[in-house]
Amino acid sequence: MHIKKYKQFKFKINSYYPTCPNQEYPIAHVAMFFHNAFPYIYRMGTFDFIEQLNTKYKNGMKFEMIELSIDNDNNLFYINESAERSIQKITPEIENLLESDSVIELCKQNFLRHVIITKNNLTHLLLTWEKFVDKKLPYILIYLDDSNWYETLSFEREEAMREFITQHTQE
Amino acid sequence: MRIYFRSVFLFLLFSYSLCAHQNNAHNLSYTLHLPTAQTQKNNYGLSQQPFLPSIPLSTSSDAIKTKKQQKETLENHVTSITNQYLQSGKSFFKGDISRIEPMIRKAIVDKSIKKPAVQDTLKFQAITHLVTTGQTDSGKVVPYKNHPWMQNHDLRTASLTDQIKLNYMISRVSQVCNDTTVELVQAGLSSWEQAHYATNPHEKIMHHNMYEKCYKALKQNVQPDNMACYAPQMQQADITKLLDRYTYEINTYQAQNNVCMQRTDSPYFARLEQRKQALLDSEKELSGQLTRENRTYTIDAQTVGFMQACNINYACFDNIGCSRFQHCITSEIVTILKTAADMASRNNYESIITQFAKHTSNLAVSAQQLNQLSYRDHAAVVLTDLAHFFTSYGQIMLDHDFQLRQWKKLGIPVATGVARSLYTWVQFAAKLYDDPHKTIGKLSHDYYAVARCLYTIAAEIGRFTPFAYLDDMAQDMHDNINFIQHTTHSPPDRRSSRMMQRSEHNLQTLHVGLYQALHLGQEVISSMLETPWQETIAHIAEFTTDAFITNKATSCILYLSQYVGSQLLQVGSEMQQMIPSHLLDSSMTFMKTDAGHLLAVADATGENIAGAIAAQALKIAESSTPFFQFAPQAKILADTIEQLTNPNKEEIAALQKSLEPFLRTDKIVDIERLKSIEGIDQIDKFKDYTNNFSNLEKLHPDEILYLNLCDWLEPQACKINAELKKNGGLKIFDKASGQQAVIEKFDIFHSLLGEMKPGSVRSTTSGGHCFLTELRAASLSYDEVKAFGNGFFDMQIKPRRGLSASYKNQTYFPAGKSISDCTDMLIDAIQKNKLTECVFIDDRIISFEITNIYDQIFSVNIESNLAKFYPTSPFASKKL
Repeated sequence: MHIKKYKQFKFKINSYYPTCPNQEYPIAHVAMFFHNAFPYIYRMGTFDFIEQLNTKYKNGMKFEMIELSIDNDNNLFYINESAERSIQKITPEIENLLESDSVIELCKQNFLRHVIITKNNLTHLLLTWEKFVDKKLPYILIYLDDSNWYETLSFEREEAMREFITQHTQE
Repeated sequence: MRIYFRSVFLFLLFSYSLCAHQNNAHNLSYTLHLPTAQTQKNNYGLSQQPFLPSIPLSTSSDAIKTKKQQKETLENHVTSITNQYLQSGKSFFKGDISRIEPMIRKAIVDKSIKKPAVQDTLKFQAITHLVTTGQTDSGKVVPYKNHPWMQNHDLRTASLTDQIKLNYMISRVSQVCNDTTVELVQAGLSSWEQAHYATNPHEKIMHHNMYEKCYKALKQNVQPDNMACYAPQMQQADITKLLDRYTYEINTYQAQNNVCMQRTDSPYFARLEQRKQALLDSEKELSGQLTRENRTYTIDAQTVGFMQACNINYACFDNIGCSRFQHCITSEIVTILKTAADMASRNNYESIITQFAKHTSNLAVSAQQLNQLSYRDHAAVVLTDLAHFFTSYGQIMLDHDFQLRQWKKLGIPVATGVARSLYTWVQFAAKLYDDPHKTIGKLSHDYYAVARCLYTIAAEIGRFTPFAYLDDMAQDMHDNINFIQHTTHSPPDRRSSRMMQRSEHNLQTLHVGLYQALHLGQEVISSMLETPWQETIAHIAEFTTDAFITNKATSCILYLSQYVGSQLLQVGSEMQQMIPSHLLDSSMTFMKTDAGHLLAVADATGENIAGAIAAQALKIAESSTPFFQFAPQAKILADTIEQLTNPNKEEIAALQKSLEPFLRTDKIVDIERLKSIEGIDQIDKFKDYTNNFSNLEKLHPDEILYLNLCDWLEPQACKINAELKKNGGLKIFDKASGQQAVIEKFDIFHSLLGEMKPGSVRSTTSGGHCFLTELRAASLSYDEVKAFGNGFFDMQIKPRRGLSASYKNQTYFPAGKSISDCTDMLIDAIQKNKLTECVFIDDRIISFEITNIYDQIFSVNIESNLAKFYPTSPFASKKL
């Protein structure tokens, strides 16, 4: 397994913080999602949230910095930045799409910075994160592997996490 | 949804019949599928098929040896490309496009002909040239530039295919006076317009399909049958039913008002008398005692022009073989149309009066079409009555008194204005049910009663509509019905109990006349929506009636009912609030002073009502009970949050007290003050939208409330930011990453009040973390609310208006916290933090999270030293 991109988190007081604030796309969006949106999801119950993605939240859900939009036809999730953060100049075309809530279309036309992730992959990440957060494990790593699957692992020690990264990023 | 499915079914049925006809018809195809031209998809998935060829891409000049050869090759190339344009466009054009040859030549020479942008430009130039010079295969284009509809619609943004189709439609309507053709053309133009302005893909596709069907139907039918050709004759049972109703109403009216048959001042009952006579004559026609009359109706040029401009069918007055009663209704409708056109002629095309006149005329025309076609449930008569009602309203309340209403909205307490306002409302009431001596209290309750009827009619239509914006409107109306019920059944203090007694009595008197008409309107509309018309009408008229007339009538009634209903509700409320209770039982007399001012005097006490209103207004201002449309929703939301977070009640009361003077949805509290605020983006957008607050008609109640709260917030925001500046700003520093930033200013409008962009709804969920109950209730729908400690809570929100289907999770400061409480909390967290983390950084924005000593996290996004901030939801035990 080879790690293509990764992001490290550390638990402090009552939240997980990325250890490096710089944005490296596309992993940064996944990281932003888990930092910004997961606390809400966790509070409403991760399993319930996943269940309701087929019903109540079938059009997705918005958070302060990040949004989750669902392409139900293709079983894909779009994790995109909010328009406010992502778009500097809102043209009439963008305005129309925003007004009609056509977020996926905005992503497809690259007006919004985003990452696409399969339903299975995101569900796996959410359920795994819930376990980590339940145990308040001190370090969490999210990475994109060479088969374009996002994976997450927890570590008791920072060194162990770094060692894992080193092993899997070497050519 | 039933009407939607019915429409879809009709489209399919109609498409099928068109396809069947097309097999042996001449080629009507308007799109050319060329091997190299790829079908493109627009944003809504609708195909935009190019109808001109791609240009040959080879321009190699390797073989060219001499200048002469080079020139010949170039000319051949130009001719070849020009011919291809002509060939590919032959379904449309029969002309010469030599004017664009120099452009083709230049593009070949400079080798830019391969570029898609250049090809597009050439195609555009070719078609523009052909269209503007009128070289189409069916009629000239140029003459229709003078058609009133064209004058009011800028087609420059339309695709060229659409421009040509629209021109074709106009060309058809300019050649014939057949009412089916006119209806198809107008439905086509109107659908194109609605598709153009639709705010969501679903509605866009629906309107676009309708537009295409109309276009194809016109192409298919050289001269369709007149709708009235298939109308059944009026039967004795129809006559008897109407006669019974009119006789009962006239008798009751005479008994109540003690007037003889020959002397009536009520236009409504005068109409009934005329109709009754026409029904008696129609009976004689059926029995052979009278012969049927053929009448022609002359509609003046101004009215026809207005109807054309507004896309209203002006060709539906072919009353050959009609009964005298139908002629009577047609005469009434012609009068309505003339009045509406007069009203519109004094105002510009975009004005609210013109829009009102347009909807009233469309309703009247729908009534006329049904008058020619069918008598089921007396729909034509009921729609005519409604059209009369709305015309009276438009004439009295909008047209003659428009300026006065503007003053009133601006809050100018001119005594003459108050008297004139009352005068026009009394006049309106007199026109409605001929009782000018009603007491003021009765008047307000009548308005409530009529508003309730109108809302019920509109809500009934809203129940069936496939269009989300109408759903949204209907939702508002349900709220208003609840408000009326809430108001008329408020706890039984002395005054309200008297009011209720009056209301009961008034409903009895109103029941005869207008109320009866409105009540019937509601029943007929339900029936129209639930039962397809094709049960009674056949042929192409069936499709036209079902798809167009029903939709047209219902959408007009929905618009008019909603508009007039809300005005009546508002004026009813204002009368109840503004007129002192001891005057509510008095009737009024109006007199003019020597200076020409109008005075309204209470008959019972001789008091000047304007003066009494001014005194009452002062009292109300002191007790602060302004008109706030979203009071019930705000109460429910406040209760929910209170239950979950147990906020500090004293803080809530203090915040409420400071907000109260600004909690109005009916008027801007202080326009001049708002005008004077500069440099606030949120307010500037509204200034642009309303032409510096001169056109407030466009604003929704929640937008008015938002502006009032901008006014409330501005001095506080200025003070906080001035203090921040005085202290040299705030520095945020993350030791771990070494990132730092300086806050020179807080974006308080965004962070605490929230965004609201005029004419848009999407932005209402952006920012706005201070819990201002009334604003949140007015602008947001909410779902789950979760508290997580110290009064902070998360709420799932989405815009109350509009189409957004997805919720946003938003965290709020505790209920009752003022603007300065919220900023103080943040400043305190920055200065005495437990943890500061820089979480994300990109080209523009640097995001920090600061945890205060109570473990509450605040997020701060800093861009150019301006900070947007909000409390954020930390991980916490699920038990919390």
